[in-house]
Amino acid sequence: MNACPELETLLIGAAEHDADALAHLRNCPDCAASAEQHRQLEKDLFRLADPLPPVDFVQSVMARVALEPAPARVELRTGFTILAVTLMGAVLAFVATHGNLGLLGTRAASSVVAWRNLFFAASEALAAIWSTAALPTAVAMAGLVVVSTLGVRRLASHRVVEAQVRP
Amino acid sequence: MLAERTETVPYRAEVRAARRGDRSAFEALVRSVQRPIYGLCLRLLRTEAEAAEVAQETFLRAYQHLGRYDESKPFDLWVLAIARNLCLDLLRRRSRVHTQDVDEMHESLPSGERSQEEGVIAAEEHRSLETALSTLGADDREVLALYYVQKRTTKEIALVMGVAPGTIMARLFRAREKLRRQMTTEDAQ
Ligand SMILES: [Zn+2]
Repeated sequence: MNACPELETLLIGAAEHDADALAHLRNCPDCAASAEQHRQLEKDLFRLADPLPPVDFVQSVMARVALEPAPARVELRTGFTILAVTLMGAVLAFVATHGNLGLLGTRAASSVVAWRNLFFAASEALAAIWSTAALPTAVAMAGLVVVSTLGVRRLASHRVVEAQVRP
Repeated sequence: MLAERTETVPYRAEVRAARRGDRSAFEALVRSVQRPIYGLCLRLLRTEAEAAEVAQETFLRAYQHLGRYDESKPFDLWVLAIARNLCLDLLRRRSRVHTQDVDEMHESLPSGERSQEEGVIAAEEHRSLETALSTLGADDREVLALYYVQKRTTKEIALVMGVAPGTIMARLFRAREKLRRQMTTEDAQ
């Protein structure tokens, strides 16, 4: 008889119908006795059952749940909180960078001018590109439109699936 | 297809209703899973009062975080994982404060369910098994409770404990081996 394998290896092996483990258990009375004790212990353990909770358990839980806002409202509230914090952050950042809310009007006016300049510059550039390479530009623009449309559609369908999984 | 799956996954309809704010649906969920939750808490904490308190807290947390529950996992396993985390937190805090007497709560150990015919001898064996169980550490008691008492699969236990399923059989063996040694020394006394 070879030296006994570790009991753990032996019993897990036997549970998985390993031929060597089973053969050792057939030929080694010591290991067979330990295995039998484990088997008996498992039988006793399987007979245990969970105790019943106190009779007023559900009532106590529900009394505490009643004090809580409904889960859906919690999610909605979290959404609003995030939105409010973002908006406040934006306002604070604006105030911090510009220091003075009185400048708001002139800033807004100058940004409108800036946007107009940008728009004119962009359309001039486009016109220039169009006059030199019309076909490649058209193809590139069409490709851009298709890719972004597909992206938006994928995003939308993903959100639908998510909404079904997590109502 | 989604409707079909709703029927086959236990608790899904109740979970969805509870998420929409239906408290009676949540009550039905509590009613269905209260026993394994309280059972695990009692196995880990060993006092009825603490087990009831932590089990209540477990359901409150479950209700508060229903929005985070991933429906692809069984609801009862999700709640069991909350319960075990709360229990382990309490045990950790408890061990930091003082080392509690292991035998403190022998009277409140779960009695299980036995038929009349098994009689006095079975009751005696059962008592020595419970005594031996109470000497084990929380991690051993946990894995034994989930596998033998609650009859859960190794995969389910792994999900609750957050460990690899392949480690469960070895954990079970080691816990059982401690139990076996404990019971042989008990017999020798
Ligand atoms: Zn051997």
